Amino acid sequence: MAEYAHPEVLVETSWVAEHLQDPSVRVVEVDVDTHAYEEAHVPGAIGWNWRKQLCDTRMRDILPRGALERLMSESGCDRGTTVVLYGDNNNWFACWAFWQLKIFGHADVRIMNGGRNKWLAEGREVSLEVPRYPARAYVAAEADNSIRAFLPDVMAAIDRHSAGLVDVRSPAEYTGVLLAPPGLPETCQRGGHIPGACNIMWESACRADGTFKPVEELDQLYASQGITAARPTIAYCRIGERSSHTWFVLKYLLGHPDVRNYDGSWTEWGNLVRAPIER
Amino acid sequence: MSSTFVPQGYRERSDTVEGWPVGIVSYQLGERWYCKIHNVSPGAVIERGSGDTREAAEADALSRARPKLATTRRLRDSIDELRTSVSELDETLRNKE
Repeated sequence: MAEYAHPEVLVETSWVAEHLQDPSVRVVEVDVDTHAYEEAHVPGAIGWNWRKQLCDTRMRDILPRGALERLMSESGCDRGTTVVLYGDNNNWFACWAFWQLKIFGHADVRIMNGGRNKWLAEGREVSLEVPRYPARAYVAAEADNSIRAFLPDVMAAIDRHSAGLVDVRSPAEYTGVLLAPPGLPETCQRGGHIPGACNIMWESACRADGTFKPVEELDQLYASQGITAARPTIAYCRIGERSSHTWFVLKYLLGHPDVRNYDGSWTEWGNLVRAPIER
Repeated sequence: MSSTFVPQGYRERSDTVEGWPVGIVSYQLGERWYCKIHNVSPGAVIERGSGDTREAAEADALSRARPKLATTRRLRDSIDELRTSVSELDETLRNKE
């Protein structure tokens, strides 16, 4: 079986269990369900709340550089720390955090394959204790926006056919039957998708236990819709978090050289006056 | 009270609630059972619950998930009705032409 393009970014639950006492490793839980960490977590893991700590709600933006530096410092991380991210729902928001750490140049970030559910399903020990680590000095790099797509990038991609667009939402959202996933508030005025985008659901990249599929299957999954290493890709969803998971798969597991996450996503595009859409 | 546990009885099952497929995850931590209801796609947690038994935890979570799922169903139905009425209006106008 072929290896992922960057196998170093993925660790197994057993690896994490063996490194719980390793001072060079900081394990961080980031969940969709922001109460999950309080319920119980991997011993020694800290929790980041994506709603409060991984976005700038006033600017509708990712974390500004200074805020990320504070978060990393208060989490006891320096530039050399190995940050292992995991979370619920197949590491959905763990990948969102991974993407932001890469934007600000953190070198050693890894995802725990299978995430929180796999850890629980394996019956591994969990803890209620919220650890505190001594703050460390942390200076982030300038933002690397080459892995992030903004609205003009998407418009240019449509006009010039310069990038493949992949909509990673459910078929019902892609076709405009639903404005938001069942049980979640809607965030846009109309349903549909960006013209020319193909639809490959983000979770198609995972097995039933939440771990990533083998590289051959992933390659086939995306290549079958024209998403290959030969062409730049822009991934999007509703608010940019599901697509960060697909961005991770394309960029690090398949090694595609030019992949961007459009975090404005359907919430931005779907609300634009006169922006073309397809259903 | 101990601050560490070994999770037990982890189970995932599927069901349909208010017309939507949902995933129901439950497990025991210490003496308490926990349950989460998530939409199958994208898998976001809709509601969570807890109880002295697995059944009680599921019932607790389901009681709160139902109203949210019903709201989405009503919204979807409204969109369908709106599209139908727009199509009918188009048809009427075409016939008049």
